[in-house]
Amino acid sequence: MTAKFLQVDKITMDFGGVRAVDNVSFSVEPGEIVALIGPNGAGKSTVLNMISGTIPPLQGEIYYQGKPLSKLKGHEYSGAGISRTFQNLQTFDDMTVLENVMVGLHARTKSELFSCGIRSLSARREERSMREQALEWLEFVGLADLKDQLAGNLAYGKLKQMEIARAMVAKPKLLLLDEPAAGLNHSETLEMSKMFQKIKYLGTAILLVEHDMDMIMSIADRIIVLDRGKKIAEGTSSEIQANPKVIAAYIGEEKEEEPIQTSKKSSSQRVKKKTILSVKNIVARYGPVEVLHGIDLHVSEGEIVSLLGSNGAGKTTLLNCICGLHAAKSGTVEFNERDISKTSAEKIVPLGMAHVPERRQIFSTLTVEDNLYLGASHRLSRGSSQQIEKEIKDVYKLFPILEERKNQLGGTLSGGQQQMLAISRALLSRPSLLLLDEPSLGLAPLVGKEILEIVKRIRDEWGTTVLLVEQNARAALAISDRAYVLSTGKVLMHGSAEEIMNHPEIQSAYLGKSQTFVDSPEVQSADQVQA
Amino acid sequence: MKNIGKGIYVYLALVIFAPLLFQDDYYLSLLVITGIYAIVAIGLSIVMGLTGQISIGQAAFWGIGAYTSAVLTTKYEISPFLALIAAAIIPAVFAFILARAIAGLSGYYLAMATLAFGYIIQILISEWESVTGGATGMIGIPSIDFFGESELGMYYLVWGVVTVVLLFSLNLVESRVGRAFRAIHKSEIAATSMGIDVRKYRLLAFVVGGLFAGLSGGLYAHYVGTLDPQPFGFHESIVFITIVVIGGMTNIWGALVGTFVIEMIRAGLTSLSDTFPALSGDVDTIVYGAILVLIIMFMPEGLVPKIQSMVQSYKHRRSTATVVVQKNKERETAR
Repeated sequence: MTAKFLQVDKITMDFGGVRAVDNVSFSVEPGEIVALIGPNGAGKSTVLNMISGTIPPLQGEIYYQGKPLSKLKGHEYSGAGISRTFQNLQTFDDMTVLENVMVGLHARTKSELFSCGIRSLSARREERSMREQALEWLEFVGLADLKDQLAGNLAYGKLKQMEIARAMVAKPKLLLLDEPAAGLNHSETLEMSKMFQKIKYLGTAILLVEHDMDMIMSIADRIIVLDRGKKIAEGTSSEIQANPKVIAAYIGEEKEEEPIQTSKKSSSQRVKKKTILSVKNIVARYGPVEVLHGIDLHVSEGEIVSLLGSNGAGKTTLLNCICGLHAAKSGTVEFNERDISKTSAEKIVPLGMAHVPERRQIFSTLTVEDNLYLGASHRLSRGSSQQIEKEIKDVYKLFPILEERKNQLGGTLSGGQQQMLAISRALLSRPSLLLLDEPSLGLAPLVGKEILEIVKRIRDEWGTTVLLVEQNARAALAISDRAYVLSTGKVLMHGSAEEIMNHPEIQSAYLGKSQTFVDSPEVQSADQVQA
Repeated sequence: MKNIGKGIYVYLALVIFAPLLFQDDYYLSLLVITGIYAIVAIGLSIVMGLTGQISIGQAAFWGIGAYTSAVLTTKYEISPFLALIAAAIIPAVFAFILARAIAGLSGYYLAMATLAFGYIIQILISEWESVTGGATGMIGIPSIDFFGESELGMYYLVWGVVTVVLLFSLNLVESRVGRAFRAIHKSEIAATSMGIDVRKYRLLAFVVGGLFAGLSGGLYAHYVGTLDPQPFGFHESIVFITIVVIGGMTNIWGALVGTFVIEMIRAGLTSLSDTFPALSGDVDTIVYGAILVLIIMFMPEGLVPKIQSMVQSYKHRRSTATVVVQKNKERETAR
């Protein structure tokens, strides 16, 4: 058997005791477009980083044209024919667009310091040829007329194209793309898809991590699905969309539906109460990229409301806008009938809103108990310490394991315990509204479920209102009264947990439009490019 | 030379004809010292401005260069010109070893390491009495005979070196190696993925910076004629950083402009301290510190890039203004 072009052989990676990538194997053929997909925290970027040499795999090996990649140093990848782009743009802002692309030719050129300094004949000749090659690729991506602009002055979408030109100018055999469509609008994404088709027909294989399912379904020859670090499926777009394991990974297991009944009861017992949180027309951006395009949402007292949607839909950003960590471009946030859109995050906490950020963010060098005291810090000066001690005891009742480990350093806890600590710490600010960002992220399914059960207990016993962002839609809906589904920065639908659960469109919100999209005229235009 | 710009002709004219304007030896000596500092500053702007590696030990390379040349000429009676070559090479070797040792450090750690290196070298100079003369220093370092042992000869020698160093650096910026330096400054991970060996190029930048500083140190030793360890420590390293930051780190011309500004302030303070004795001593440090703070607060990009962008926007406004005028005319004729 001849050696595969790219063979990923049982690679494994751990991050802080959590197995981020577990025994993953797959291969890429020359000139193929392969997509790596999976829910948040599935390990896609980690796999890509291992292939691009940013982090060496803990176990396993990656073979490129039959040779192990671990033999290559980071800067030798480009010369070997592997180029990449980055999830968060890594452009050289103080260079011109042309210069940026010329840097991409570094591995294919030789002029050294001295000949560059005296501008020797060979250095000048090489410089000219670099300029010509870079221009060719700028024309390919359609940026030739911007070549003398500083990269820092370019719009986000243009920079993404520039990164493609910078990667392609080295004539790679394999192009690694980390979320090429992130932050692009619909037409830019289509433009990008066409470009990838062209690149494919030039003979360069593409391995990409992407959240834009529509894009993946239309361009990928093969799709590999990861979930919690394991490969769970591999196949063509139609195979993947129909695969029950994939559907379960994205929106949760079917059998978890049972607890919905209980939550329905409890919600029906609740009479309509006053609105505690009201979000009107929130628009948010990161630099030039608009990620929320006008979101309306309200939460009533005593409710558990879920915010669902695939990666990149804007859930975390919305939560950060609400709790004051991210300044919204426009729109208002009212909390207990008070406008807090302009209030800074640390002043919102005393008003009764607590935020448990994604990936927990506990203070790993402090003990469990000190972490909890910090949660109460905004009233340490006024409130009696006995009162706080008593509340910490109450919290320990919710999470007995924390009491056992109260003198342990936060960083030594397991992922699930850290999540419990993060929630407890938030509870000690005595919130009337608790914002939870992906509490089950990176946890074993059972632990994640346990934590969500406790969230429900907190609401039922303490009366705390909860706004929950969760990847696992089924598990979240099981404890929620109502839910909003976000898609690319807009509210796609909202309704009671039951309505959302049974809505036919929820699957496509996570897994992209069904096969019919592929026949739409827009994608045909991408096909015409091939022809 | 088209990529260097017209500025170089203005520069050459100024360098060649400046002695006609300032025939007084005092002013010439100020210009010589300015040139000597500018050489170090240009090297440092390659290390700090282009490659983004902070060095708080640049005065140490300067000192190694100065003592190398001084010892070789006074103790071994080698020609000052040969000694100057050694004064460039030996600090470059030190820079190479230092950069190898601290490869992988960045940010605060790099700052601390280069700071420590600076102190070690200064202590070495003051303690190695048999060679360097210790704290009392060295005297009788021969001056260089460059078309006669005159202030003017020294001026043209020093500024000749400045010009070579400047042209070399300007060429470098717009080249494969210069782009590699700038790429490392902005994103090491992106640079690596473009095939740039980050360690190698960081090391190269340090070596170039050390080489320029050493060469300058050699010139300084022969120009001043006496050496003691005092100028080759932390204080002077900070002066070099101040120069580079004021002029604009990312621009080689900035190093030159920054040197002029600092040397003018230094000369101004010295002459003022004749009438106001309170201004003597370490007052210059306070002034440099204040300037550094002000620049970082209000003009973080530095003088030269600031002026460049102001010229750019002025040109842009003028061109749009003419476009508007033309359009208005067109509209009127259309009527």
